[in-house]
Amino acid sequence: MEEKIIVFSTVFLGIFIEAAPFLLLGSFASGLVEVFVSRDNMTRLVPRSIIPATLMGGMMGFAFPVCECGVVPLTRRLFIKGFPVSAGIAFLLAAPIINPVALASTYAAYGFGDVLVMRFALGLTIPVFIGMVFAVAGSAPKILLPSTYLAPIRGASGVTSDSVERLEAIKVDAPVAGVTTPEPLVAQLRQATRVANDEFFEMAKYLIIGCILAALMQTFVTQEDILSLGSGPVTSVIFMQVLAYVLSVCSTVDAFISLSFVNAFTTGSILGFLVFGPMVDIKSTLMFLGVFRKNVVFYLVAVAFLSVLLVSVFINLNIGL
Amino acid sequence: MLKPEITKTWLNWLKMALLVGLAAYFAFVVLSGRWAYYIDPRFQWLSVVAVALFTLLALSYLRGRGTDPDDDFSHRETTSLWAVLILSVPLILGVVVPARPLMSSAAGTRGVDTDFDSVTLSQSSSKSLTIVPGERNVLDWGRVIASSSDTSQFNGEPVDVVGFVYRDSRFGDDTFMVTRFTISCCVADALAVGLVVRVPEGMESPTTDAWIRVVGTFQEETFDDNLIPVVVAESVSAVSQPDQPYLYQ
Repeated sequence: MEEKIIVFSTVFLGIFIEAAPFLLLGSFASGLVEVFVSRDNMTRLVPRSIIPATLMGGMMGFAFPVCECGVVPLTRRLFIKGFPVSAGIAFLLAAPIINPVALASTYAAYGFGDVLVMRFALGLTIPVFIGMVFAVAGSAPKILLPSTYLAPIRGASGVTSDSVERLEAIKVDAPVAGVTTPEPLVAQLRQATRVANDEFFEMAKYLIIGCILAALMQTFVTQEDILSLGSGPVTSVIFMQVLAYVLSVCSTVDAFISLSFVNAFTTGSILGFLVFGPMVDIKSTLMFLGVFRKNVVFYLVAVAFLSVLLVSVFINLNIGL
Repeated sequence: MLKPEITKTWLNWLKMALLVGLAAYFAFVVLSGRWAYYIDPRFQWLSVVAVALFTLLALSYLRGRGTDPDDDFSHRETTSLWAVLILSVPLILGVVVPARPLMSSAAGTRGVDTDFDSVTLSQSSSKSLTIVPGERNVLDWGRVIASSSDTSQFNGEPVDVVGFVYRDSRFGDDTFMVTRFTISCCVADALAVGLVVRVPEGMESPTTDAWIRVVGTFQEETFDDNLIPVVVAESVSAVSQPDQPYLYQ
């Protein structure tokens, strides 16, 4: 047992030490968005109708080198700024896959070829599809937590009893556009740090519980247990998706890890690993709980799992790269 | 959920202390070389970034507190003492549980391949081929053997590798595996790679989990119903645990 505790501790600390810097970077990115992007910017920049807005959300993934830990606080902040739900979900799921760092590591592992192209194509289309599903499924208050939907413009991001009043008060006090005296940069950066601080404490607890669960699985469940699922065109995909979920490896390096399975597994299942894992894994599922309502988190994971499964099995049966 | 009562001022001090602790722990992990138990060297700089950002967050508690009502950090009830307790888990584990790299007990749940199915065959495998046999490590050998179809071609090749001793039910008293974990990101993706070693009669077989250096030659033999290259040991000597216990893919 003592041995098991040491293994658990080593695996836990390994994942945490790897993931914490990304969460910190994501929190600071969120703080900067809070300070430098206004709700007005957001309404101006984001297209009104759902389809272009969702596409834009997915494409924004290019611009942000964030993995699945860093993207959650950033998306949360975009929602607070009034980002549409469908676009936010598309961004949340696409960014970990199609960001420049993840693409570079996929290129390093596989070179230019089917895997790189398909990972990118699926990593953009499936999140956009899921974003639209949720746009049809319900309105923002039904999907987002109250704290991400209604929040004070300045300061911390939660709803306190007086936050709505504060919101109103700030609106009334706000100077007329054009005659605003800009806040000094130092004060703005301090404000960004303060938001980053809140964001970090809000998200880190989910990250840590996720790391604990992932480390427990790795300590007590053997890979053979999961492998007993089999290696057919369907079961191999399920195996690789479950493995991606359980391993909870950072999306910026999972391409290297998938290499170990290339010989033994179907191409569809490798793609399943590379597309599903970055979208959701144990730790990001828990972090989603800080953004979405509980039932929405469940549907989000289920829809992502099933749509990736469907596409990967289709590839195995009909294309067989 | 039960919410422990605590004043905001105390909560802020606790959070600041926690951030200072995390910054110090990450700095310790980097400076002590402890990182080698957890992550690939390529990601060491990220830990340095973390030290800087944790410090920045901790410092933000010192500046301008109390001068502006907006500077009150905990508007929200959600940042409770529970969050602080959960966040202290990494610090507690890092300080209380003895730090050790993954060894045999972890290889058990991950499985150790004797036919190198899981060894990555990426660009780097050709690099392993160019290394002189006597200087190849366990991972180099794994790649070379995995990329060859005829295992008898290794007969007589000299082997000189360092690793820890792994045994499961497939091994007898005179056989074991000289093993290393390989990682490509952090220990979450660790895979064990090893060479099967047979010690000739009369030579003492090392104990499980001991770090050893094995010198010998390959001989094609049947092991666990497979024909594989087995290292016939000429000498097995105890060594201290390497500074970097894992090999990097």
